[in-house]
Amino acid sequence: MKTFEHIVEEMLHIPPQEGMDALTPKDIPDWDSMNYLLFIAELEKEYGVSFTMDEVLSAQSLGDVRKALQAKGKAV
Amino acid sequence: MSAHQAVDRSLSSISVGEVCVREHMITAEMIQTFAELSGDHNPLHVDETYSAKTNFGKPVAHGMLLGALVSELVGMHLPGVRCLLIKESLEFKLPVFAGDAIRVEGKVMHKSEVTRLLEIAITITRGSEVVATGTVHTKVLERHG
Repeated sequence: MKTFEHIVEEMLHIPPQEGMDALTPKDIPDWDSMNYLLFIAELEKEYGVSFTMDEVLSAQSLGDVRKALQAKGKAV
Repeated sequence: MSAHQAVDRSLSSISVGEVCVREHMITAEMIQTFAELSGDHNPLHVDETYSAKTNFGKPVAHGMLLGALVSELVGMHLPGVRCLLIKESLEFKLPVFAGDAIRVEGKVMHKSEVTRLLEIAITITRGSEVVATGTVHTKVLERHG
Protein backbone atom coordinates (compact mmCIF):
# COMPACT_ATOMS: atom_id res chain seq x y z
CA MET A 1 0.00 0.00 0.00
CA LYS A 2 1.23 3.48 -0.82
CA THR A 3 1.94 5.71 2.15
CA PHE A 4 0.51 9.19 2.52
CA GLU A 5 3.98 10.56 1.83
CA HIS A 6 4.30 8.46 -1.32
CA ILE A 7 0.99 9.75 -2.65
CA VAL A 8 2.01 13.33 -1.87
CA GLU A 9 5.24 12.79 -3.77
CA GLU A 10 3.48 11.12 -6.70
CA MET A 11 0.64 13.59 -7.07
CA LEU A 12 2.07 16.89 -5.80
CA HIS A 13 5.74 16.22 -6.56
CA ILE A 14 7.00 17.00 -3.08
CA PRO A 15 9.56 14.58 -1.60
CA PRO A 16 9.02 13.37 1.98
CA GLN A 17 10.49 15.93 4.33
CA GLU A 18 10.47 17.21 7.89
CA GLY A 19 7.55 19.46 8.62
CA MET A 20 5.69 18.58 5.42
CA ASP A 21 2.35 18.73 7.24
CA ALA A 22 2.72 22.50 7.46
CA LEU A 23 3.01 22.88 3.69
CA THR A 24 0.18 24.76 1.99
CA PRO A 25 -0.72 25.42 -1.64
CA LYS A 26 1.59 28.45 -1.49
CA ASP A 27 4.53 26.15 -0.73
CA ILE A 28 3.71 23.46 -3.30
CA PRO A 29 3.83 24.69 -6.91
CA ASP A 30 1.88 21.70 -8.21
CA TRP A 31 -0.92 22.10 -5.66
CA ASP A 32 -3.32 23.58 -8.19
CA SER A 33 -7.03 22.91 -8.30
CA MET A 34 -6.85 19.95 -10.69
CA ASN A 35 -3.86 18.27 -9.05
CA TYR A 36 -5.50 18.67 -5.66
CA LEU A 37 -8.59 16.84 -6.93
CA LEU A 38 -6.39 14.07 -8.34
CA PHE A 39 -4.56 13.91 -4.99
CA ILE A 40 -7.84 13.60 -3.07
CA ALA A 41 -9.18 10.94 -5.46
CA GLU A 42 -5.94 8.96 -5.13
CA LEU A 43 -6.14 9.07 -1.32
CA GLU A 44 -9.76 7.88 -1.47
CA LYS A 45 -8.80 4.98 -3.71
CA GLU A 46 -5.73 3.96 -1.75
CA TYR A 47 -7.33 4.18 1.69
CA GLY A 48 -10.84 3.12 0.70
CA VAL A 49 -12.49 6.23 2.11
CA SER A 50 -14.70 9.02 0.85
CA PHE A 51 -14.11 12.64 1.71
CA THR A 52 -16.87 15.18 2.09
CA MET A 53 -16.93 18.45 0.19
CA ASP A 54 -16.38 20.27 3.49
CA GLU A 55 -13.25 18.24 4.21
CA VAL A 56 -11.89 18.87 0.73
CA LEU A 57 -12.58 22.59 0.77
CA SER A 58 -11.51 23.27 4.35
CA ALA A 59 -8.07 21.64 4.12
CA GLN A 60 -5.48 24.40 4.23
CA SER A 61 -2.37 22.26 4.46
CA LEU A 62 -1.10 18.72 3.99
CA GLY A 63 -1.53 18.29 7.74
CA ASP A 64 -5.23 19.08 7.41
CA VAL A 65 -5.60 16.41 4.74
CA ARG A 66 -3.73 13.93 6.95
CA LYS A 67 -6.01 14.78 9.89
CA ALA A 68 -9.08 14.19 7.72
CA LEU A 69 -7.75 10.72 6.93
CA GLN A 70 -6.95 10.06 10.58
CA ALA A 71 -10.49 11.09 11.49
CA LYS A 72 -11.65 8.22 9.27
CA GLY A 73 -9.58 5.79 11.33
CA LYS A 74 -6.63 5.61 9.00
CA ALA A 75 -3.17 5.46 10.58
CA VAL A 76 -1.28 7.89 8.42
CA MET B 1 -28.61 9.07 -31.65
CA SER B 2 -26.21 10.09 -34.41
CA ALA B 3 -22.66 8.80 -34.58
CA HIS B 4 -21.45 12.23 -33.50
CA GLN B 5 -23.70 12.65 -30.49
CA ALA B 6 -22.07 11.93 -27.17
CA VAL B 7 -24.00 9.89 -24.63
CA ASP B 8 -24.96 11.73 -21.44
CA ARG B 9 -23.95 9.75 -18.36
CA SER B 10 -24.34 11.15 -14.88
CA LEU B 11 -21.76 10.39 -12.22
CA SER B 12 -24.29 8.38 -10.23
CA SER B 13 -25.06 6.14 -13.21
CA ILE B 14 -21.45 5.03 -13.53
CA SER B 15 -20.15 2.13 -11.47
CA VAL B 16 -16.69 0.94 -10.55
CA GLY B 17 -15.95 -2.08 -12.72
CA GLU B 18 -18.02 -0.81 -15.64
CA VAL B 19 -16.40 -1.50 -19.00
CA CYS B 20 -16.74 0.37 -22.30
CA VAL B 21 -15.31 -1.07 -25.50
CA ARG B 22 -14.75 0.67 -28.81
CA GLU B 23 -13.53 -1.04 -31.95
CA HIS B 24 -11.65 0.71 -34.73
CA MET B 25 -9.90 -0.11 -37.99
CA ILE B 26 -6.67 1.85 -38.33
CA THR B 27 -6.31 3.18 -41.86
CA ALA B 28 -3.59 4.96 -43.82
CA GLU B 29 -6.00 7.88 -44.10
CA MET B 30 -6.27 8.11 -40.31
CA ILE B 31 -2.48 8.18 -39.99
CA GLN B 32 -2.18 10.85 -42.67
CA THR B 33 -4.96 12.91 -41.13
CA PHE B 34 -3.35 12.66 -37.71
CA ALA B 35 -0.03 13.77 -39.20
CA GLU B 36 -1.73 16.82 -40.70
CA LEU B 37 -3.58 17.61 -37.50
CA SER B 38 -0.62 17.21 -35.15
CA GLY B 39 2.13 18.34 -37.49
CA ASP B 40 4.00 15.11 -36.74
CA HIS B 41 5.13 14.10 -40.21
CA ASN B 42 7.94 11.90 -38.89
CA PRO B 43 8.84 9.57 -41.77
CA LEU B 44 8.35 6.53 -39.58
CA HIS B 45 4.65 7.38 -39.70
CA VAL B 46 4.17 8.77 -43.19
CA ASP B 47 6.99 7.63 -45.49
CA GLU B 48 6.59 4.16 -46.98
CA THR B 49 10.15 4.10 -48.32
CA TYR B 50 11.74 5.28 -45.10
CA SER B 51 9.71 3.01 -42.83
CA ALA B 52 10.39 0.01 -45.11
CA LYS B 53 14.06 0.31 -44.14
CA THR B 54 13.30 0.20 -40.40
CA ASN B 55 12.64 -2.85 -38.24
CA PHE B 56 8.93 -2.14 -38.62
CA GLY B 57 8.91 -2.53 -42.39
CA LYS B 58 6.02 -0.14 -42.96
CA PRO B 59 4.57 3.07 -41.53
CA VAL B 60 3.71 2.93 -37.82
CA ALA B 61 0.62 4.67 -36.53
CA HIS B 62 1.34 7.57 -34.18
CA GLY B 63 1.02 6.51 -30.55
CA MET B 64 -1.13 9.53 -29.90
CA LEU B 65 -3.51 8.42 -32.63
CA LEU B 66 -4.34 5.67 -30.16
CA GLY B 67 -4.51 8.40 -27.52
CA ALA B 68 -7.05 10.18 -29.68
CA LEU B 69 -9.17 7.03 -29.77
CA VAL B 70 -9.06 7.00 -25.96
CA SER B 71 -10.35 10.56 -26.13
CA GLU B 72 -13.21 9.26 -28.30
CA LEU B 73 -14.04 6.62 -25.70
CA VAL B 74 -14.27 9.02 -22.77
CA GLY B 75 -15.58 12.04 -24.67
CA MET B 76 -18.35 10.20 -26.47
CA HIS B 77 -19.19 7.18 -24.33
CA LEU B 78 -17.80 6.99 -20.79
CA PRO B 79 -18.86 9.40 -19.43
CA GLY B 80 -19.64 11.13 -22.74
CA VAL B 81 -20.96 14.65 -23.01
CA ARG B 82 -20.06 15.62 -19.43
CA CYS B 83 -16.42 14.49 -19.81
CA LEU B 84 -13.57 16.81 -18.93
CA LEU B 85 -10.32 14.97 -19.56
CA ILE B 86 -7.87 15.74 -16.76
CA LYS B 87 -5.01 13.32 -17.24
CA GLU B 88 -4.07 10.62 -19.72
CA SER B 89 -1.04 8.35 -19.65
CA LEU B 90 -0.33 5.61 -22.16
CA GLU B 91 2.43 3.05 -22.55
CA PHE B 92 2.93 1.81 -26.09
CA LYS B 93 3.96 -1.82 -26.13
CA LEU B 94 3.67 -2.85 -29.78
CA PRO B 95 3.53 -0.90 -33.06
CA VAL B 96 0.16 -0.47 -34.75
CA PHE B 97 -0.17 -0.33 -38.53
CA ALA B 98 -2.74 0.62 -41.14
CA GLY B 99 -5.10 -2.31 -41.56
CA ASP B 100 -5.00 -3.29 -37.88
CA ALA B 101 -8.33 -3.82 -36.16
CA ILE B 102 -7.95 -2.58 -32.61
CA ARG B 103 -10.12 -2.72 -29.53
CA VAL B 104 -10.00 0.13 -27.00
CA GLU B 105 -11.30 -0.91 -23.60
CA GLY B 106 -11.91 1.43 -20.69
CA LYS B 107 -12.66 0.01 -17.25
CA VAL B 108 -13.72 2.24 -14.36
CA MET B 109 -11.29 1.58 -11.53
CA HIS B 110 -12.33 4.31 -9.11
CA LYS B 111 -15.07 6.88 -8.77
CA SER B 112 -14.72 9.83 -6.43
CA GLU B 113 -18.02 11.46 -5.58
CA VAL B 114 -16.51 14.54 -3.96
CA THR B 115 -14.11 15.36 -6.79
CA ARG B 116 -16.38 13.92 -9.52
CA LEU B 117 -13.34 12.14 -10.95
CA LEU B 118 -13.26 8.76 -12.65
CA GLU B 119 -10.09 6.73 -12.98
CA ILE B 120 -10.37 4.57 -16.08
CA ALA B 121 -7.86 1.84 -16.94
CA ILE B 122 -7.19 1.64 -20.66
CA THR B 123 -6.23 -1.51 -22.53
CA ILE B 124 -5.78 -1.40 -26.31
CA THR B 125 -5.54 -4.74 -28.07
CA ARG B 126 -5.11 -6.14 -31.56
CA GLY B 127 -6.53 -9.62 -31.44
CA SER B 128 -4.89 -11.25 -28.44
CA GLU B 129 -1.99 -8.78 -28.36
CA VAL B 130 -1.93 -5.85 -25.96
CA VAL B 131 -0.55 -2.91 -27.94
CA ALA B 132 -0.97 -0.19 -25.31
CA THR B 133 -2.11 0.28 -21.74
CA GLY B 134 -2.74 3.35 -19.68
CA THR B 135 -4.88 5.34 -17.34
CA VAL B 136 -7.26 8.23 -17.83
CA HIS B 137 -8.67 10.56 -15.21
CA THR B 138 -11.75 12.39 -16.30
CA LYS B 139 -14.08 14.69 -14.46
CA VAL B 140 -17.81 14.17 -14.87
CA LEU B 141 -19.22 17.66 -15.10
CA GLU B 142 -22.53 18.71 -13.63
CA ARG B 143 -25.39 18.69 -16.08
CA HIS B 144 -25.58 21.84 -18.17
CA GLY B 145 -28.79 23.36 -19.41
